[in-house]
Amino acid sequence: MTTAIAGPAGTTRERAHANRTAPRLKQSRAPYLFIAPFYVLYVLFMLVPVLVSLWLSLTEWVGLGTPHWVGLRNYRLLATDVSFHRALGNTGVFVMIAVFVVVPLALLIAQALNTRGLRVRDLWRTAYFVPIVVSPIIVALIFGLIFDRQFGLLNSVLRALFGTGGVDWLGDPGLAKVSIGLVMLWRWTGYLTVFFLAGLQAVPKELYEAAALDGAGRIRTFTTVTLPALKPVTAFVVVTSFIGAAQIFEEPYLLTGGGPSESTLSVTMFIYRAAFQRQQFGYAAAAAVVLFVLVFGLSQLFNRLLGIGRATS
Amino acid sequence: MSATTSATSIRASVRSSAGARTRRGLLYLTLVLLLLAFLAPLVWALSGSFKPRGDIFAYPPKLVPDPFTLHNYRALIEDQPFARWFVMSTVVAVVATVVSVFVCALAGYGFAKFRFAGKRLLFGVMFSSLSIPFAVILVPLFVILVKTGLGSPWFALIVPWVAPAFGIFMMQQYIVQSVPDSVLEAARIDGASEFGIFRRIVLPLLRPSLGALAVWTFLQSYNSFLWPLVLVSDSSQYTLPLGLQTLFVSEQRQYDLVMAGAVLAVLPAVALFVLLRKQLLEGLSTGAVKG
Amino acid sequence: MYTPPPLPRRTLLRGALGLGTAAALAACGRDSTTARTSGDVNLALWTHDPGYEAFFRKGVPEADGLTDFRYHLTVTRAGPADIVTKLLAQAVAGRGTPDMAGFEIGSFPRMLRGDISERLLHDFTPDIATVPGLKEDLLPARTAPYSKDGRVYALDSDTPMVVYYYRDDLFTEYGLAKDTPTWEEFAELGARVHKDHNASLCVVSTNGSDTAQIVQSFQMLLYQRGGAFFDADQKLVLDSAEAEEVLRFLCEGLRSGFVIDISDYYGAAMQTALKQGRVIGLPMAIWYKSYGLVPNVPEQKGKWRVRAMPRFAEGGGTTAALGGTGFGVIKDKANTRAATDFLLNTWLTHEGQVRRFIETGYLPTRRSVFEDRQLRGLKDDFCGGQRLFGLYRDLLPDVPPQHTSPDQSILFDVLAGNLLRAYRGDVSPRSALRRTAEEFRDQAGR
Repeated sequence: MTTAIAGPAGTTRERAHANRTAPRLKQSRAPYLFIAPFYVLYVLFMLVPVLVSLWLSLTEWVGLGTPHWVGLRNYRLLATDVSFHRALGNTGVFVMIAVFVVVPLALLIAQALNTRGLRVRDLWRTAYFVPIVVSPIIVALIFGLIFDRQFGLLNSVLRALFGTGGVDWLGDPGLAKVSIGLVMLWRWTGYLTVFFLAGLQAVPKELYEAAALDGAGRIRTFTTVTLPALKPVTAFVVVTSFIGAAQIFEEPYLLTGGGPSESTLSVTMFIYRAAFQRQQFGYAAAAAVVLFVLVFGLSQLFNRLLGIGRATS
Repeated sequence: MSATTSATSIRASVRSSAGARTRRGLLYLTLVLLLLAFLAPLVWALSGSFKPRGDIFAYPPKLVPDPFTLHNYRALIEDQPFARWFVMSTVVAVVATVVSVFVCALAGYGFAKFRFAGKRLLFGVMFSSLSIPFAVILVPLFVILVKTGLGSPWFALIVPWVAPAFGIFMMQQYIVQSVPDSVLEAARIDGASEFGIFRRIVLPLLRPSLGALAVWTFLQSYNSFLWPLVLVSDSSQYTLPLGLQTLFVSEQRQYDLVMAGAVLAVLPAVALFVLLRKQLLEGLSTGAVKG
Repeated sequence: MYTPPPLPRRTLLRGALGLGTAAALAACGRDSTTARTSGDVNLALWTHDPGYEAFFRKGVPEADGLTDFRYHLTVTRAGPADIVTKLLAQAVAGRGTPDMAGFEIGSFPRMLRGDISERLLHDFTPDIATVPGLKEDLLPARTAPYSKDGRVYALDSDTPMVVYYYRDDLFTEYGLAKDTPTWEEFAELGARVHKDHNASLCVVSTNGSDTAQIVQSFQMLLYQRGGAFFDADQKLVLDSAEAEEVLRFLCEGLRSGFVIDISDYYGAAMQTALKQGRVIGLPMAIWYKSYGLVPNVPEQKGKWRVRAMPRFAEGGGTTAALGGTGFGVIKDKANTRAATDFLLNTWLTHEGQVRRFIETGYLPTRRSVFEDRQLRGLKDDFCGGQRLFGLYRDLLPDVPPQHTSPDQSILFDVLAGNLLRAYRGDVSPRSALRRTAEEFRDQAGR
């Protein structure tokens, strides 16, 4: 039965094409039933709250009592808010780190873990995965200690190796971003590896055999067989990493509080800060709407580029 | 035999064994270095959980606790309602995971393998909900749930989250990649019902990705903080992150207990991962045979 | 330890509170909830600190004796900021608010935004007014942070004076005078100690995840020097000559080593610095002993001493206030009266305030309690048997009032960033303060 998925016909585009050419009108109710549970929950617990928030973004509300209608004032204020612009810029940096550093590294590790005859594969996989299950409070505690300027482990190591320490990992505006990036790397890489591994498992072995018969080398096999076959998974990991990083909250919130001088303030932190520290719910809602529009627009763009739209139509 | 096994065996036969050995050595070296980087912070936390509070941050750091103490664990379990937090979190996460994986696979399949009117729009709506920042819906959602009498933690910590767009998108991607139309066609010709096909053919084919999704859903629920924080007002229904947080507020930093709590809190998630590892690794070929 | 309370005061308080109950009943009449006036009552209490929980639990018999209620407590613990978040969320949803909640002083300003406090919190002013002498006895410095338009919405846990902690043994060993009168002379001493022994006499926090902590290091000396963040009208008055002087003092201290920057007053870095003798003295609030020193360096018991801070040569006082937690009662609930009675009869009685100091180390908020003979006789083991209460009493007149603003968290965010810049030498103290004021005005208007 392995032949069922065999052959070069197994590429995304062709399958999608096959889909299009196989209409089944008489079962037209079935797909709606399959997707119905999602939409029921979506309308109740997502759409309605979003509409409420959209309305809130046009008001001034301290979190209690009646919101006052202010029209587009919140949006006008956002347009000139330096903090918000900083938050957008910082979030852009975090997104870049997620998409261009964390994701490729996860793919490489997955590829390494997929090597034939690898010993104690489970050990590696489990070990790399563990960081993501650690409670964020502990993550902050641990990394606060590692990055400490005076007594941090990282600076101790640097001092022992190179004789110079005293690097202000969390206090220097530029380095603080790097430090957040390192924590992102630590938390997310092993976790994304799991998705790539699941994807690699699904690559038909016949494709590798064919490539080997063609005399393709390691790198060429990777680029001509593995990568194309992993395209849907990669698209999925990239898009979700993008969306996740665009809403990054825990790492900067717990480790740097968005500082120093807002150099690690993310948009979600900005929203949280406005709502839950400053009681400006209307303003927070407006910022959230802006974030939503940006993320939505960019992920649509990603979809076009990565061909997700084609696979689904 | 897994897919990669045969591929690399052919490749290996072409190459000199000496080069392969060097490469393998490098591979293991890299893996070990990565292992150290990933685990060192946790080993430190583990060792800290067995140290008296005054020793946790001793400088230079000591790896082996001396004196070794179980006091932190005892204090956590005896003096704090840790067991209750633990059960609450685990039960909520397990229920949410089981329901969610099923719902996501259903919808993912619907999107991946059917043509229907409004599909593009419906998919866009589903997908765009991924990019709705949680902070946006937090307050309205809370008010809606409470006003409609659905504010019980058992409902509100689980139900609104069992159909995440992330999971549906993920399932859709995997199904496009790994469920061949020909299998479905064959089943239809045999007269199987649509739901029957989903249950008996599609689900088994999806095993590795169901495992990955289960892990994701479990973690989402298990580690979530902001939502339970706003929702749960009765401390007898606190989840683990909420409970640990109470040990760690403002000036009262009970590092010792938090370390022990963190170590224990990791266990269910790691257990789930180890349990599902077979699923995660199982080749698709076996699934197809069963189907 | 616990002396029986003097009878007259008790009966006075009880009689007066009885009147308060009648007034509250009248007020609650139109509300759908029927106010409880006596008998068994289960109070829901939210607090971040297990110390308060223990205090109130122990206070139940006392409150039972002084009121018509028989109290039971259900306590929920959450982080200081989370208590406000949860309270507002529950209030919006119209369910499950507590009867009584502890607001950490840094989180309380959120309650001042809009009309949140008026809508949600019981105003204690009439209750205070009905007890003869209580209004005059309560320290205005500790009601100011929880007041708005002359109404008191929460009652503080502490008069958290700032004092100077130092390692007596090391001061002796290094030959340092223990009574240096001014900060300026002290700073010279500090520079020398740093050069000779790699130790510092003052600390500033650089804890990024907690802007309030960064601000605190500066705040203590600022208020001692006579500066302030906000005036009584909630107007920003930070950008002052005093503020500049204090910030310059800290920045120069960092260069000379007199001051050390530590990431967290309560965590790993501080513990290491204390253990290694890198920090042998620091100005901090009186509660720091129980939260910073005792848990982190229990082995240094007996080696620490407390003195009043050195003065600034140019002026100012001898102390400041830092921290505190105000307990408020949620209004228009069935238990509002019961909770108010409970709070007043545990938190504000003479014997309650004595007990609070003994059990939690928090100083009384009533002037008269500072004269208590029992408290003045207490010896502190951690500080080598020092009798500290006399010192606190002497400092009391100097405790400056602290006014907040609903925009305080905005100030803390921008101030923390600019303090760090100044500490690192990226900007001058002058421009750090000016930028803070500018950024604050920009953001607070939103």
